[in-house]
Amino acid sequence: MRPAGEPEPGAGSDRLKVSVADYAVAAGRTLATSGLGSCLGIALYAPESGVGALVHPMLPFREDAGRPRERFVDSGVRLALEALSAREAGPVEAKLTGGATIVRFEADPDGPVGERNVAAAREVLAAEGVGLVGEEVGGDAGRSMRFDTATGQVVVRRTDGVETVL
Amino acid sequence: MDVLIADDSDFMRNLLREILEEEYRIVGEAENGVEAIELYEAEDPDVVMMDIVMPIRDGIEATDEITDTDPRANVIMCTSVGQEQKMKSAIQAGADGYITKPFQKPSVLDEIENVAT
Amino acid sequence: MQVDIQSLETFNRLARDGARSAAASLSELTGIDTNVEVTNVSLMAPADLRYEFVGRRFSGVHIGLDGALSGETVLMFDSEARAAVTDVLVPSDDPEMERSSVKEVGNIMTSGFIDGWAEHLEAGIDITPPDYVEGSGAEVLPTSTLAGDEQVFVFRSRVEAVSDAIDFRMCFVPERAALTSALEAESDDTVAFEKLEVFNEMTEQGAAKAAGNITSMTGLETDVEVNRLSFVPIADIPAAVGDQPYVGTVLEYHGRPSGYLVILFDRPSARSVVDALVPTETDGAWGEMEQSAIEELGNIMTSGFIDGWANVLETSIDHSPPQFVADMGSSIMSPVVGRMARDQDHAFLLDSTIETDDDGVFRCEIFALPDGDELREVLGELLVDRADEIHADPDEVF
Repeated sequence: MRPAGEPEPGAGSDRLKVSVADYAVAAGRTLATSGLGSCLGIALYAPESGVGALVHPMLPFREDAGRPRERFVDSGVRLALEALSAREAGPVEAKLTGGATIVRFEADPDGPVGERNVAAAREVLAAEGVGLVGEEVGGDAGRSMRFDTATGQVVVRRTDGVETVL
Repeated sequence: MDVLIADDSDFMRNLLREILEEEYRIVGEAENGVEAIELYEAEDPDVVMMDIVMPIRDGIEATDEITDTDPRANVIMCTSVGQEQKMKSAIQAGADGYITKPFQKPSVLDEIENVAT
Repeated sequence: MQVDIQSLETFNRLARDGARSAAASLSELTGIDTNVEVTNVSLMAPADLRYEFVGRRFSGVHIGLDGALSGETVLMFDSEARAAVTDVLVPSDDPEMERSSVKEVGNIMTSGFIDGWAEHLEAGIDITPPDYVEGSGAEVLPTSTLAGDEQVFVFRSRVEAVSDAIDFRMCFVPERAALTSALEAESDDTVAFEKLEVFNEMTEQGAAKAAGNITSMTGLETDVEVNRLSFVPIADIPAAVGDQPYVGTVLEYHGRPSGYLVILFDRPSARSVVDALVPTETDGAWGEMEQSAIEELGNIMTSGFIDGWANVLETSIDHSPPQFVADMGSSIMSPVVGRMARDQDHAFLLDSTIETDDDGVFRCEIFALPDGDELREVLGELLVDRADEIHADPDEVF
C-alpha cells in the first residue's frame, strides 16, 4: 500500500472510500466504507491532531508474514497505527463496528468469523494501549460506516435501517 | 397406504403433503435423517419420501439404516440432486425409487405406485 | 496449451496497476480522483461481454496493440464521467472539442495502462492512434478480437471516483495467440486453456438448468444472459457484487471441487419468486415459509448448477442445506470471501446472470467460488470428451 507521508489520494475531495482489506489515513475529511458483513470497520482517531485512519480487515489474526497486512485485524490495526504515528498524530482512540454473522457455516469450530474479528480487535487495541471509546458490533445485519476525521464522529448504518452515531 | 415425508424444507414438506394427502395417509414429517429413522421405527410407513441434503444425517445414510433394519422398507429419494454417483449410492443404500426436484405431481404419484406394488 | 496460474496472477496485477496508472493520469489531467474498485480477468463468450454494456451509454477510445502483446483496448467513460471530464477540460460548449478532449484523455490513460505490461514482458507494445467511440453494447467494444463466437480472455477494471457517482472502465482483449504465449508455463501450476473453456461451457449449461428450475417452480420465463469464469483478487469480490440489497441463499459444497455457492435475487425478483411459491399474502418482511421457499429454490438451483460438474467428472459433490440471506450484496459476500481469504489471494469466480428475456424485470445472480487448488486438480482430470455427460437420468440408473 501507499507509504505514509505520500500525498493522500483524493486530497481534493471530501470523502475517501476504503475498500475491503484496505485502510486509509486522512485529516479533515470523511473516510467511508461499506459492505461490512463479518468484516470490521475500525476507526482510529487522534483527537489532538485531528488525523484519523479507517481499517477494513476481513480476518482476525495474520499467522503468515507473507499475507497482506491490511487483510487481518491485528496487522491492519498496527499498520494504521504506524501510519498515524509517522504523521505524529498523537494519542489514538478507537471506535469499532461490523462483525455481523450473516451466514453461519457448519465448519466454524471457533465460532463465526465476525465474532472472532471483534474479539481480535478488542485484544489488539488493548495490547496497543488504544482505548475503545465506542462500538456497534455483532448481530446479523450488514453495515456501512462514515468516519468524519474533522470531528472523530462515526456514523454506522445497518441494513435493517438502524443508524447509530458513535 | 401410509407415507412418511423426510425433508428439511418446510416449504417442500408442505408441497409434498398437499400432493400426497389426497391419496395417502401422511404418518409423519421428519426434518433430518435422524428424525426420519425414529419416525420410521415408530410409524412403520409403507413408503418413505426421502430428501438427500438434510442436516445432522443426510437421506442416503438414513435410507441405509432404515433398510438395514427393515429390508422390506420402500424408500423413494425425493431430491434436487441429479448426480449419477449419488443415484448409485442411493441404490446401494437400498432406495427403491428416485425423483428429482422440481417434480410434477403425476410423476410423484406414479413413483409411489411403482414402488409400493 | 497450458495456462500458468502464477502468470495469471501476475497479469491480473498488471491490469490493476495499469488501471491505477490510468486513474493517476486522469487525476493529473482533470483533478478527478478515483479508486480502482474491481480488476479481473474473465473467460467469456463475446456475446456475454456485449450484453454487459447494453443499456448504458459510454464514450471513450479504442486503441489497437501490436508487438509484445497484440490485441485491443477500450477505455470507456459513462455519461456522468464524460461530463465531469469535459466540464474540466472544455469549459465552453464545443462538442467537437469535447470529443477531442475525451480522445486525448483516453489516449494518455491507455498508455498508462499499457506501460506496465511492456515493462513486464521486457518488450515493446506498439499502439495505434486512438479512435473515438461512443454508444452502448457492441458499439463501444473491441471489434476484431470479439468478431467470432470463440471465448475470449478479457481484462476488465472498473474505476470509480472517490467522491462522485462516476466511473470509467478499461477493457483489454488480448489476441489469443499473443496471450497464450505470454502466459506460457513457468511453473507446474497450470491448467489447460481448453479445459477452462470446457468447464465454462459446462457451467453455462448448469446455469441454464438452474434457470429452468426457476421456471418450472415459479412459472417465470427465464434465460441465462451472462456466464463467465473470472480470476479475481479475493478482496475485490464484495465490490464486484456491489452494495445493492439482495435476497437469496448461501451454501457450502464439499467434494471435488469444494467451495461456496451464493444465489442472489434483487428484491423485486425475490418477491416475484416468493409470490409464485407461497400463495398467501404477507407484508414486507420475509416470513418463515417465504424464507423456506427461497431456501428450497436455492437448493434445487444449486443442484442444477453443480450436478453437471459431478456427472462429467464422475464424482459426487455434496452441498450443505442452504441458508437464507437478505442484506447488501457486499455484506453477504464478506463472510464467504473471508473464509477463502485464509489461504488464497485470488479465486476463480463463476458468475451467471439469469433474467427474464423480454422485460429484464427479473434478475438473479449465481456466484460459485470453488477452492482454487481443488479446481485445478479437477480440471487436470477433466476428460474433454465427457463434457456433454452433464445429465444423469434416474430411470437409467434405477
